[in-house]
Amino acid sequence: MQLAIAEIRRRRGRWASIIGAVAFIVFLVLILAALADGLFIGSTGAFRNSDADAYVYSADGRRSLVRSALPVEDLESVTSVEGVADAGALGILLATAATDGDLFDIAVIGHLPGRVGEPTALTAGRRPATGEQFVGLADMSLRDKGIELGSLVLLTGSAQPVEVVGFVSDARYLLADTLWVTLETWESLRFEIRPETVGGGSVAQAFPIAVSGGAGVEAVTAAIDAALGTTETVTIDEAILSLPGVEQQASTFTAIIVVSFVVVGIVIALFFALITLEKRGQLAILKAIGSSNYLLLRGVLIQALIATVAGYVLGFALSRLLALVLPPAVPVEFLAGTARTLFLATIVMGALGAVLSFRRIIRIDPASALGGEA
Amino acid sequence: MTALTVNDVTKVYGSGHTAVRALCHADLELSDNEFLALLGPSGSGKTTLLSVIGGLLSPTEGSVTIGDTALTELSKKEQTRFRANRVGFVFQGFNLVPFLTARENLTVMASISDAPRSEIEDRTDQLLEELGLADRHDNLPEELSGGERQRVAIGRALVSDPDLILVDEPTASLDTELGTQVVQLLASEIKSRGKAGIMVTHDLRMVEYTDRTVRILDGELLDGPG
Ligand SMILES: Nc1ncnc2c1ncn2[C@@H]1O[C@H](COP(=O)(O)OP(=O)(O)OP(=O)(O)O)[C@@H](O)[C@H]1O
Ligand SMILES: [Mg+2]
Repeated sequence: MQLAIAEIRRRRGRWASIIGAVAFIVFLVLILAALADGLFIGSTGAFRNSDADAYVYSADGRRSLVRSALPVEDLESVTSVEGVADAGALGILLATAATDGDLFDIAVIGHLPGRVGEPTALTAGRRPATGEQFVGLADMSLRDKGIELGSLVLLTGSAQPVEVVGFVSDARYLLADTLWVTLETWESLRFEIRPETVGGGSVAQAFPIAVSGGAGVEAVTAAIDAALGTTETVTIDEAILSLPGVEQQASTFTAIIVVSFVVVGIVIALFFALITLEKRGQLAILKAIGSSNYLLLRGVLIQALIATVAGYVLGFALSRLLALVLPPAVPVEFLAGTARTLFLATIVMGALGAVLSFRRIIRIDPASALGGEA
Repeated sequence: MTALTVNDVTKVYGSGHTAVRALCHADLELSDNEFLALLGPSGSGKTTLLSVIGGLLSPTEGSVTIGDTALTELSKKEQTRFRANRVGFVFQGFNLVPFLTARENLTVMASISDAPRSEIEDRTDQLLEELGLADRHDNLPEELSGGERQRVAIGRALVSDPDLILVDEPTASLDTELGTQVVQLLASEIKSRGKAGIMVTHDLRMVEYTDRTVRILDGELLDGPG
């Protein structure tokens, strides 16, 4: 302990460089992870922030809200399937809106108020009443666009504005801000903006469902598809991963992060291999005067711990500094859980890197200390 | 009492054609409070004998007993622990931990030996005083002269209060005057503590500070100053 810490204190230069290297990688990883989390949160809020256990799509919709189409009258059949506690309906319309002359993308989501599938966290105002026309819930992110309670949102191509009567948080869809209206309002806006969709009766694009207490989600989804014959029902987790780009983004970021941690391990391993080589004579003397392998190996682990913890703290601080100057459009989210996982991963990789020098240390012969060559 | 018994020790390095017999049926006894000089030319087996006695090398044949412990019967791990507590080493050349101060080079024995830290700290202060290093205790080895470094090494060998001190050519890197000083100090530290000690040397002039001299030639021990 005394030895391990004294070495770091008296060889500050080299230890600063290894701590700097770890800090730099940790910084990159934390920024990447924050981007990954930000993209995930911004892409999936509309699904995650609901009480639904599963989503029913049309079989030809390939698990896509945009491609799927379901006759609204099928909702009856879904609700009557054994194990379904509640079912709602969703429709989506990707549009543009303007406030003060600034155009921005907005996803208008039709839903059934009070039924499963609506965003759970109401942060201000009220929800639309069932069948209430041209009022909506706005995602909190629309506040940045100047929208408040009572604001009127006019979609490009529509003559009828929607009044914002409430706010929900974390309810975005594929990084677009969302406006949640009744299914009826959604249908009329859609007919107005996308005239090609008119005709063929009322449609929704997905039925979110909640499963009753004892029923297994997998069994219920299978039962729904069997009963309707024309649907593909997936669990909420599958629905989230099927959102365009979400799974690909997650796996790409995970791969980069994993590789970065391997690099942390390699950097630490090389560093300890190098200083072990340099300290051979000194380690032989320590062994000759009675140091056990245990004592020396423990010292190396303590040093790896100090280097990785210090590197992490520094990298963490740097990432937060960068976050302060990032434009708000960059979707970064710093989550405590992610920070904790990455902290543990950093320490584990550091320890693994240090362990690689163990054999070299154990093999040093204390007899080589005598004779003056050491 | 007998501090050390070396009984019929033979050490052969390597095997077959390349085998080197570095020690040949060596016998040696050392009593408490005895300081012995081991004198011999280069390659005669002095370091090998010291290594075997200190448990750093296993003899090919024979046994080493220190106090009442048969060192050659112990496992590697037990030998390491034995060295930490019962044997003090002074090596030739640079043998201090370079990033520890003079004082820390002694107190580091608190983590290595089983002696309580407070005991080690007390003995450290006393030894630094006696070795004339009281005002150098905060200096790193690179800031010390060769003689000062060798005195720190002597302090480290004594600080865990071992029964046997083994010293390999302590004056090799010092000039005669400094070498004599260091050996005088070493002898007085060993004698005042009633320890047993062996000092390897080339230098006949150092012999006068020891109680007895044993010569070694081609791995064989010959008693007397001859
Ligand atoms: N690891 C080894 N492998 C093979 N032979 C060795 C080894 N160590 C020492 N020897 C040989 O054993 C003999 C005795 O060596 P030792 O180091 O004990 O001599 P020494 O008396 O200490 O010499 P010096 O005064 O030069 O230090 C020498 O012939 C040496 O070449
Ligand atoms: Mg030698």
